[in-house]
Amino acid sequence: MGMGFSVVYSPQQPIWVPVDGTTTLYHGQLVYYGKQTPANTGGVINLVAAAGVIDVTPSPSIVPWGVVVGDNNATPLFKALTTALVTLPYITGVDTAAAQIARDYRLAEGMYGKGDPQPLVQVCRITPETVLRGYFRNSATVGTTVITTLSPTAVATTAMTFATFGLTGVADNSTTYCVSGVNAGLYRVGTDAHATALTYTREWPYTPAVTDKFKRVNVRQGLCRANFDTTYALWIDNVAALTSHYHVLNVLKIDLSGGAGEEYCDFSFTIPNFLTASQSKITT
Amino acid sequence: MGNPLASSQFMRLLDDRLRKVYVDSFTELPSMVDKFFGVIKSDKAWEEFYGVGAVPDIPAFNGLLEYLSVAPQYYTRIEPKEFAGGIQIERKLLDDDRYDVIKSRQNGLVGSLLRVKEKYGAQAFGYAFSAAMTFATSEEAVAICSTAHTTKSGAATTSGFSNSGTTAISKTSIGATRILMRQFRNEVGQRIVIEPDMLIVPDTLYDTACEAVGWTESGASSDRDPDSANLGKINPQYKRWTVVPYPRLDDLDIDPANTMKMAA
Repeated sequence: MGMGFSVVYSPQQPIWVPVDGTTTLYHGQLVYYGKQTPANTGGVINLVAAAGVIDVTPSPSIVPWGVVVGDNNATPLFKALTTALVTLPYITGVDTAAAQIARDYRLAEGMYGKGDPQPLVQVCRITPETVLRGYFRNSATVGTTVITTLSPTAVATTAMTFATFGLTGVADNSTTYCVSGVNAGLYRVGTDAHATALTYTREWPYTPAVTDKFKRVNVRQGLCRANFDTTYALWIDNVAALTSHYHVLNVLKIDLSGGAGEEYCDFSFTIPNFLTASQSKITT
Repeated sequence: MGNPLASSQFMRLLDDRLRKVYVDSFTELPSMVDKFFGVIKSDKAWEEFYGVGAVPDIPAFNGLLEYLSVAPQYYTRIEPKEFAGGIQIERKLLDDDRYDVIKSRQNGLVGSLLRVKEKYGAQAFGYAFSAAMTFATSEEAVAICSTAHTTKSGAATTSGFSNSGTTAISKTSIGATRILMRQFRNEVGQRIVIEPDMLIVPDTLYDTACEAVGWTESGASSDRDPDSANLGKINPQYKRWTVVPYPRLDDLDIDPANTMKMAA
């Protein structure tokens, strides 16, 4: 079961940054960094779901800064997330002098001395060029809830009816993948804004059958809306409404051919995500 | 895990305390591609295939020489796809790795390539009911396994052309499918030689298939009918088939409870 964001491509090399306060950070988490609301005085903190369009509700808005790829604990720590059947390496921040001195730590580089006892994470920076891979889950909070596979109850090359995949689509923002049947392996973008009645302007080339199986995700290739989980910033929330709260991503590749929990997309953040003011932000 | 591979992800490789470091120690599934597919080398952007059909029946002479038509077969194009992947390793990790194992991960790319090849090989069976092929384009525009195969000759395709079924695997359905396969016809509707002798099944159906044909790889065999209602009768499928378990088929959504595929 894939979990956590990873860097597929980046022109940047990782750097070391402090962990904010007493936050626990997991490898694979998206983080933001800098003067911000909510405050992060000490270091990086997990990005989680967008509040507002491209995260403008907190003002200045939260800017994605990096992906955690390592930490400076001398003994690696692993934890099974409370809402996900996945064990990930993690580090927990400490603020007090005594707690810092008590740590056993290694590897800091860059502006941090080898003797600096503060909790640090190694972060791959996110810039507009950074391509990330994120896995889909059908929950904002539970990482074990994988996306749904369904057979349609009514079929045509232009439209299909399903019991809900768990999400209400945004027009031209969802992608349906044929798992089995005459169109197996193909992707089509949904033009509907519906939970059960899916429509396609670019038709399925072969007439589907009610025994065929499909998956649906709330992103599409190209510029699209998407949101992340609300707790960890470790997966793409496939059931997020995407009407008022979302990031705008540039999705490069969607792969829904894997087993349950292995479905992912590769994306980069669009330029507006890096602006701290809401002016001039695109909203798709 | 993160990219690039960094010291902070492999902290335990940076000192000498470990007795042994296992590297990629699990054995991958065996190769099946070589068993089922022919391999051709190509340096072309795509390879094209085409066929010319059989000559239809010679009619009785009725005072006039009758000229027979020969129909073309369908055109198929196979287009190789490009795959690429790399591993990025922090320089310091390469230097500090006390067990010299990180460097070996470049060899892992070879294993990765072979695994991907095997996965796509399994798709040929797993997606055999899809008309949208991963590497090929068929002029016929139907799936490899389809109830809607057609011909260019105009021959009726009512029987002898459908090679798609969804009957649950059993002694009876295997027997019925064998008959259907033996009655396959060519593009001018003439009977051809098809002698199916192999059942390729996902692991989940292997035991069921063995029971149906009365034979297992380990040597157990029975020529008795597995259906208790047929006590005392023989099983005609006995020793007729080789059952090949194909573990990667379990990873593809092929509805194993209802799907049976046969290869001649």
